[in-house]
Amino acid sequence: MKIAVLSGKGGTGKTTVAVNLATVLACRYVDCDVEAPNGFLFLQPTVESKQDVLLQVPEIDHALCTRCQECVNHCQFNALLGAGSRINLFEKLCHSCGLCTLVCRFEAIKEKPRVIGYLEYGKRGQQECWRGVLTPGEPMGVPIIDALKDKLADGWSMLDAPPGSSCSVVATAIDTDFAILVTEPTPFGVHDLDMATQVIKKLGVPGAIVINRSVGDDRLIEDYAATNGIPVIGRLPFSLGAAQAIARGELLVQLPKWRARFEELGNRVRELVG
Amino acid sequence: MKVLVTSQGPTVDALADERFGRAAYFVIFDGQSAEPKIMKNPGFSSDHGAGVVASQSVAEEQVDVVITGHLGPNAVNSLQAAGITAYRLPSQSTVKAAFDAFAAGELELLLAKQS
Repeated sequence: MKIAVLSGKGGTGKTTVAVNLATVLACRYVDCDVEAPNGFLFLQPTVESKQDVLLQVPEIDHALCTRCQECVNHCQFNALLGAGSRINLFEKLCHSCGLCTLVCRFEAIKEKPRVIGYLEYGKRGQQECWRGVLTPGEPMGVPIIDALKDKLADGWSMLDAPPGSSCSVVATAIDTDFAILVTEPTPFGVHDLDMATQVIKKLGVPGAIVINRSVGDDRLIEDYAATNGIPVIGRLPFSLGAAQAIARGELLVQLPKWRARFEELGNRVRELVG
Repeated sequence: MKVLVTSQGPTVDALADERFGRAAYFVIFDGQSAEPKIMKNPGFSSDHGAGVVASQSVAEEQVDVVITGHLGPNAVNSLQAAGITAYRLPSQSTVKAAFDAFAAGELELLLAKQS
């Protein structure tokens, strides 16, 4: 059972919901927000292992290369430049598809691995925690997320998605069993909630909404939920105490009132996903 | 010598385009012919690596000098690999006015040719 926590908008409380819900459900936490993974700040697992994530990029043997341009013309990502005295690779544009190696008739291209980030695994008591970390300056998070998801054993996993509705969000949400859409009752919140909703609808993943920072009037979100047939399964109040606890790096479930709220939310999730 | 100006439109009277990789058109002046060659920039609609694909096309046209507003890091590396020099556009200039300013030696060097 894989549950993805999405929001569309950044800063709505994805990580807050994901770490606290994973804790009350006693399930695995997986930080797929590889550009800014911050779930470990709250869970503080003891890290047991770390491994690099590699991407295969072409290496051109200029002694064998005839500069025929076949590789340049086939590259869909414009990662190869054929101008000048030799073929030049722009490795950050390379999506590691391997087509250049296949089309080279002179066997002048070999693949070599390039490190773009790493995975970390640790435990907080019995709770398993994973995260992917993309090296700053690297443009593509998807290979890290794919590598992370390959590591997950059976059992429940809570996948903390990146914000937005980009490739990294799709890579996180695809092949999950359920999505929790965290939002806030503002026009920004509902606008970006709609983008996240469209992603999960396209992927065929069922979902439910959690309203964070509720101040009592949540009609913006309730109307959207009713129109789109998505249940609202939780409401978390706008709270100075919660903000202060988060600023101290604490889990909200350490506060009794919040523990009760997340346990109730956990029960709703269990009912919905069986 | 071939001199290319990045352009927002397909005429010499169009405003020059500050962007290189994402410029709409390339206007290429050739000392050998009176009429400039006008072509679409393949980088304009490219999903990835606009600076690289624009440079590739500029190199295929055997251009010596590019006149544009800004160059991104991939464009800088690509134009350097292709041995092309770049000069900075005057602000709010038409393509023709930019070319004339270059011919008069009035433009600032943006990227020196790598030997």
